[in-house]
Amino acid sequence: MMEFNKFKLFAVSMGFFVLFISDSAMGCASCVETGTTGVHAEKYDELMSWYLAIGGIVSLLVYGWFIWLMYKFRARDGTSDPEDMPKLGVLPKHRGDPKWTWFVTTGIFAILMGLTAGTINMVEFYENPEEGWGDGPLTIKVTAKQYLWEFEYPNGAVTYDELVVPINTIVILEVTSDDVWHNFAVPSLRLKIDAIPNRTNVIWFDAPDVGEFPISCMELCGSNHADMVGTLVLVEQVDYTNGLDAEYEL
Amino acid sequence: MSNFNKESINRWLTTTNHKDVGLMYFFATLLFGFIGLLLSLLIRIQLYQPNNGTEWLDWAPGDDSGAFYNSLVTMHGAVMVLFFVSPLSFGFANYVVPLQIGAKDMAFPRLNALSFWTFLFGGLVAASGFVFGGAADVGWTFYSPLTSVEYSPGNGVNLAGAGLILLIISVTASTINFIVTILYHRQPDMDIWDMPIFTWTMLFTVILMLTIFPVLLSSLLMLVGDRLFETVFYSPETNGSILWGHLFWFFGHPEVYVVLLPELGVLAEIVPVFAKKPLYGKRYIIYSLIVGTFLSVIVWVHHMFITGIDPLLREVMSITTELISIPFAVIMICMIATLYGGKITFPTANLFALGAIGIFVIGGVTGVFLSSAAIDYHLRGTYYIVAHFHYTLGSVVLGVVAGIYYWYPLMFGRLLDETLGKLHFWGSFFGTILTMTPLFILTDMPRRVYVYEETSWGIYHQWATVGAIVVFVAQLLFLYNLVRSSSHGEKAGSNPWGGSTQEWGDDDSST
Repeated sequence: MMEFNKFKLFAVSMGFFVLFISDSAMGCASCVETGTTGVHAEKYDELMSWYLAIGGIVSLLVYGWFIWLMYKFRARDGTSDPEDMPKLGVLPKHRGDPKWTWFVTTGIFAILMGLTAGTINMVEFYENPEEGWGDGPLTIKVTAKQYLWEFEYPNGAVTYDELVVPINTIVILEVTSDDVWHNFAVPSLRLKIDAIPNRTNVIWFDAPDVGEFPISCMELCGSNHADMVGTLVLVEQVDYTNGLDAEYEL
Repeated sequence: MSNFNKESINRWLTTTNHKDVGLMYFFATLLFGFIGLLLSLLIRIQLYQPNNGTEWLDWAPGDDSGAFYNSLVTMHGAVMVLFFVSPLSFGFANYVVPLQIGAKDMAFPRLNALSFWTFLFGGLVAASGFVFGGAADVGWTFYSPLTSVEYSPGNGVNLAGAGLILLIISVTASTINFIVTILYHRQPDMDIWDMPIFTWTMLFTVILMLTIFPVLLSSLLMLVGDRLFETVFYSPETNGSILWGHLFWFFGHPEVYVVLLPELGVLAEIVPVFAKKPLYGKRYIIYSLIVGTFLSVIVWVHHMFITGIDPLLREVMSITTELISIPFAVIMICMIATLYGGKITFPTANLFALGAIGIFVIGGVTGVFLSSAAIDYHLRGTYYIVAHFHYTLGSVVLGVVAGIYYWYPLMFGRLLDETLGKLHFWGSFFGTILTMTPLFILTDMPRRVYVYEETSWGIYHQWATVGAIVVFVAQLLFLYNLVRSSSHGEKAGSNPWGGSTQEWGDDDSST
């Protein structure tokens, strides 16, 4: 009876554990509070939901099996020890069936390769802006410095910590750093690229929604790393060309 | 250990016996483990709520609280990975491996003692930065050029570098010692395929360590050259940042497998004993270890997916990274399959072992997400990463603690208290889950920031901090249990768990 109670405790806790995980898995699919926009986010979330679904099913199967085994083969009064119980001084016989191993190996392999196909598509997508995604391109130089972001526009205007661009336009960012290794990230756009001194990394995006989205530095860059934040301001195309000249001196 | 007279101090300072060295590793790594735990508690307290004040950090040495927070993060990572988990496994290995394979001692006992003392002083030197004007505050990854004299003028990086170089000396001596011991000092009638699984995993661990630590040594020597002798290995003009990235991660990624493999060995020793069934598929586990060890040195670019390197390299390393999940999935499934047909009892050692498997599954599955270059573009540098590797390393810690409960009777002749042990397990298990699960949600929050404004992140950090406190309290119980049981614990007898490997004796007649 004692053993059974211990088991129940264990099973219940594992159940909580799985629940907890599936909750948080839902959460990590999107940035609920800070907003989401852009073609990358759309494609990214689709790929991520495949990973989440398959990862979720696999973990549920493994946990189900694991918990069932612990329940089914728990020590109870009256059960005798297994015949091949390991004994001191006796080398246990090899136990195992190659067909299960091959089944597991090829099964996981097949699943992973399916997911990898999606990954490779996505990598290519991040590499090259395609024709037809929007107007532009508008190329902006991004320079990271301890502890601010400098944005240089095609006409030579410069803003700090605030990147103002029009919606429905392909924007190409040329990211570099003046001092140490930084990382330019806009989580709402699923956009992230390292800012490395003496090296220019290129990334593009195209977003349909007007609004303000946070920019963060995601690589430890010194004692004020936490303060290295900025804002991406997405405005209507017409506002960008007409109205904002005065405000942002573009 | 109870009376510290001159003779016993002399004995412990000069001993070369593998059991003594193993015990000294055990005590030293527990010391480092508690240092690392305290640092993590300070981190969690600072992150408890948005816009948390930093006044309480200002008593610290160094010029500002941000730098002090960064040194907490850096030293927590370095101490936990390099000076706690990995050497604790070496403590077990020192004690158990020679017994398991019937060797009289390690092949080179004095070299073994040297390994321990250089390890101990390495750790103390690296941590001493806290006393001497600020410990390293550049992250345990030491990304260049933040580590250069220009951006980190203090002593912290020098001390951490010196500590790591001492550690590498220790590791090199130790790996050679284990390879020779395992390959040439087995008892004559023990075929290599008959070796217990823990010895097998230690063999792969030391082979892997011997492959990667020289790379860390050379990259650190170049760093020290840059800092002290004005060499220009990591100058930004010659793309030094990327050079450091490749060198560091060629070491840094396999290092997590160095930490993981001994834990798998511990689990594979413990689970069959308490399931009363032989390990399922021992040979498949060994084949998987071979494949996993090999693959682990060709996946490092997944830490550099967004440095702007060649997309083809990213895709290839994405695939190798996804492949490496296969051998480790096979190992885990073999361990779970061991339970089939058994008669499972749940003493604390087994609870920790099964809990470690349970935690590892989530760590592994979330790792598969990260192996995808595309998914990694969004998740890198966020709290999702923190949650992922704390699940895997949390599993490793639960696994080695299972090892402590399992081998404590062998080392001290007494059992650890089961009631305290159960409390310790449930505290650690739920504490780990409570700390790390909410952080999976924070995919838009940067790591290593000492203050954040976004108020919606607060609730997750509050749960995480509560979890960290639960873990901390559980470890205090553990410490009390360790001390108390060494003199008041139940007498163990020679084979309390019914283990079948040789460290418990030659045959059943002795029990």
